[in-house]
Amino acid sequence: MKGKSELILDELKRRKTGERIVEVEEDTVKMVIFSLLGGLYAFPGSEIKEILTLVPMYYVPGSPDFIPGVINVRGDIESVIKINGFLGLTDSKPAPEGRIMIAVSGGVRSGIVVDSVEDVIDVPVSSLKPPLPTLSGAVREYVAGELMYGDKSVTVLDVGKIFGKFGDNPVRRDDAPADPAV
Amino acid sequence: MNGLELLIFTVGGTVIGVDRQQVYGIITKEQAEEMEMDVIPLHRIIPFGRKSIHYRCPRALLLKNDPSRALLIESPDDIIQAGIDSIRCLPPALAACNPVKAIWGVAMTGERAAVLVDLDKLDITAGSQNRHIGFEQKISTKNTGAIL
Repeated sequence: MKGKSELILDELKRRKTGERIVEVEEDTVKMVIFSLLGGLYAFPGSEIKEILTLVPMYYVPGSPDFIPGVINVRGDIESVIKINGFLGLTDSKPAPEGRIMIAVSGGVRSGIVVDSVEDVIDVPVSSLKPPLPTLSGAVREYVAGELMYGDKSVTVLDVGKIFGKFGDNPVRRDDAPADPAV
Repeated sequence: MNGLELLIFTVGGTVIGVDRQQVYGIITKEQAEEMEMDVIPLHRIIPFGRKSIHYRCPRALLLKNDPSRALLIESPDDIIQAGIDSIRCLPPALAACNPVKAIWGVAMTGERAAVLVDLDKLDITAGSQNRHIGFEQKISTKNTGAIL
């Protein structure tokens, strides 16, 4: 005769066998997580075509401050932008471990300089949360949502909205030195 | 069209290339001033951002399309033949937000990249303060330095 413990274990086993195992194949989205001035941000992986180490950058006169220059990528010229200003961050010099991510959105292709690329991960679509209501108005415009990376919050950015601002930032002539030393 | 003969010079660390066919000649700044020419520093026409621009060896670039003015540049580094295969359009992001329409492309010259400036499209009047008689009239009686 079986003891109580054995009966309980049998019952548990029976219940477990009886449980229907439902596997849900959840849609995922690839995210490229990067850091900028200590904060974590992400772009959808579908919009990032390439990640490059820092290469010599050539300044093009007349460019707004957020375009530090162009780079030579295997014989092609790519623009490089700094997104600090769009995110309300102070300007910064590229870190030694800095990277240039080549992004494409809305037919526009450009490099984006970041401090480091932390990870490339697949995240369930359901884990993407709407932008935090505490975000300030200017930054909020470029934020697509939030996700958790371990115990850290990551701000997901909309490349298209950043690229969409390109035509809105002409350099004013008075940006040039007024009485330059010759 | 197989390419361009480019006059290469550097301003504020940026290598610039202009079509040699658009250049009448190069003289010293002093010669240009002696001829009472309106000598306009390049960075007064094309903003170089926050960079402080100094010309260590200034030269006055005489323009074919505007005999009354000269463009102050750093002494040229080189004249090179740039094949069409070495010339690239400005990336769309840059073309969209760079208001200087005279900047039209980039030429890869070995390890360097030269920003291409169309002198005929340069809005020289923006940096000009005076208007004087044409340099061709003055050059006839002056020592003109290097004429291309």
